[in-house]
Amino acid sequence: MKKRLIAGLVLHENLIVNSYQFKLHLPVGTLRHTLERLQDWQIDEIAIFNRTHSFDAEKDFIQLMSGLVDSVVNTPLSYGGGINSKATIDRVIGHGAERVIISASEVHSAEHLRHLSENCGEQALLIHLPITNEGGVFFIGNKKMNSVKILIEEFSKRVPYSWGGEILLNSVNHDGMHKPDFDLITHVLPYFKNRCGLILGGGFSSALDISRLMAISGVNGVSIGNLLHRKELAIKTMKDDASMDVRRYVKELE
Amino acid sequence: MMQDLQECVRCLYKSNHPLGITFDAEGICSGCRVHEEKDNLNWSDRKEKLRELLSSYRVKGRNNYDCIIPVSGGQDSFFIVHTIISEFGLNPLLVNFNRNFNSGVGLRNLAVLRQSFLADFRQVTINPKVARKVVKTSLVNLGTLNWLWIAGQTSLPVRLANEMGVPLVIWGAHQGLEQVGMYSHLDEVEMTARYRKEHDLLGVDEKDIFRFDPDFSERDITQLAYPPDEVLADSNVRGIYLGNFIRWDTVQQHKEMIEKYGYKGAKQNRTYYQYDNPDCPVYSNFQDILKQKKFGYSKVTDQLSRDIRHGRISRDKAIKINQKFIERAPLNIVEFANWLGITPAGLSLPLLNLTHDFAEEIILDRWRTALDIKLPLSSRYMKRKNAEIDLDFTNIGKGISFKD
Repeated sequence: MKKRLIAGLVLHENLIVNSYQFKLHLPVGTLRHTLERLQDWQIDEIAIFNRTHSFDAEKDFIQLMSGLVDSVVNTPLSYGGGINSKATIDRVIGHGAERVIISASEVHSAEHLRHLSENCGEQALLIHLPITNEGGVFFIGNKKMNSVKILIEEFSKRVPYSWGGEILLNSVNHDGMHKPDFDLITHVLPYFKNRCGLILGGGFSSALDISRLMAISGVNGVSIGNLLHRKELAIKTMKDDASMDVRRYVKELE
Repeated sequence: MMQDLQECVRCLYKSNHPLGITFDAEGICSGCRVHEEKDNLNWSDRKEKLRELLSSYRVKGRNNYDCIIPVSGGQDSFFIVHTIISEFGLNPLLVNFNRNFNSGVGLRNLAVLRQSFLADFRQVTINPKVARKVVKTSLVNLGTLNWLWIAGQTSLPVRLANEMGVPLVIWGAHQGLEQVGMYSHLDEVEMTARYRKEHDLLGVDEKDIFRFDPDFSERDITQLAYPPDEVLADSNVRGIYLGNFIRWDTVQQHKEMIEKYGYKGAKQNRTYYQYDNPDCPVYSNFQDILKQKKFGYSKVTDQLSRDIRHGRISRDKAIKINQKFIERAPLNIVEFANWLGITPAGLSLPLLNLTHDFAEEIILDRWRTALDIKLPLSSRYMKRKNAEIDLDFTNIGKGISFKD
């Protein structure tokens, strides 16, 4: 799979927010204006994490998209927030998402994962793994998911070999902190070797860090968050400096 | 409705703040949380970082400016210029977009600024007829009369930076960071076209303004144009905010500037604080009424929240002061209406449509449908026979205006 630059957007009560260690969320603006800019700069993919979702993920998604009816979203879009059943996955995909994001806590076993992707296909699923480093022990979860403190080794067994979906690993400790956790990456990668591709996120804010990450085998992409909102032309600069191809906007091909 | 809004337990902001605002589990808003950084960060280190950054932009041989500083006769201009010239020794070009309706105090402050710092200065004044057309359009369709000045003041320095090969633009404080804690100071947020369009210009930039009035032409908005992305990518122009590197306290800075350079304020009817925006006769008057109608709060609320955060006033006292000032009538209505070429009664029409429900629509990003006041500009209330530009009020530097 082509290495990609993914916009990781955190949605909090209908606002796109800057996120810091999954604890502090600062307002940025509306989804509409965020998407406009991301498309201007040809981000490869957009992943929306709705942290204030309701119990009805399908309704949340429809409402979100209805606010964008007069905007054209050409970029592949993944959506997550309270999605925990095959039926909901199918419906959200049916309403226009290219992929859905499911929380690690919703994945019970390899069989269960296969079941969830039965209709939509494995490639339509992206598992979100927020990982906390507690004194050198890495586990999946954050304060909100306290009851789901799973060790990475244990979780990796819930992902089938040669699974077609991907996993997005987010470092909780480094979220919004301007520096990624390469120790985490080194620790986690072996567990998912031959299982699925990984996307890494949490603190990526320089072309150097992105280049370094993209050079690692098994890494399919990087998710950047806060950086998107605080500098002009962040995406293009990142891609140019990290020698990544800029996705050609559809219009240019006409 | 207003009563369903969440209020910050520290300052006076509510959940309908137009820039967006978040609250934590303790009910403290994002603005107050980020403000805490002002007391926790090592500002000496941050200033040193600024020094290094600025040094890298110093032009060898001094055959060009080191940076561009947008200035006005109010706000933080004196402090920014003082810092850059007196403290860091850079050679800036000062630029000003003439808002077209200036106060005498504002013109005087701008003149004092220029004489105190002896820096090169460039000003752009657009055709007053076009200025009135833009202000009318933004008043009717966006519920603001400030759009013109913000569009011009945020684009002029960037355009000049690009044209003149001066890649650094220096701003004071980031409004989103200061008011609602949009970023951590450590993020070192820079100016972006996105923030300008979404927040400064209420989602409507100079390319969009055409749809409100078919009479607009490309030529009308040339002086409001923000350089396109491809151009900025080539020129590497960036805009930094001193507030990320210097512990920003506007009130303290104003005190210092009054003492050092004689910066002057103006008594304002709808706020206790004289030194914000004394350069605009309508900003804290009719524009403030529009703000109150749309969002349920006024400029005085911003200032009181600022003072609460800096420990200058208690929340309880601030609430009382807020209530006192938001009920006051705006000044300069007749003068402004005359300048705009409409009857004073015509100003009431946009107000009738700006209810508190408008605020909810802002949050839901459907304000355009909520602002159902697309009055044709041919409406009899918006025209005055033989309307002439009121030169006193226009006050584009050729004379001193009314009352000041």
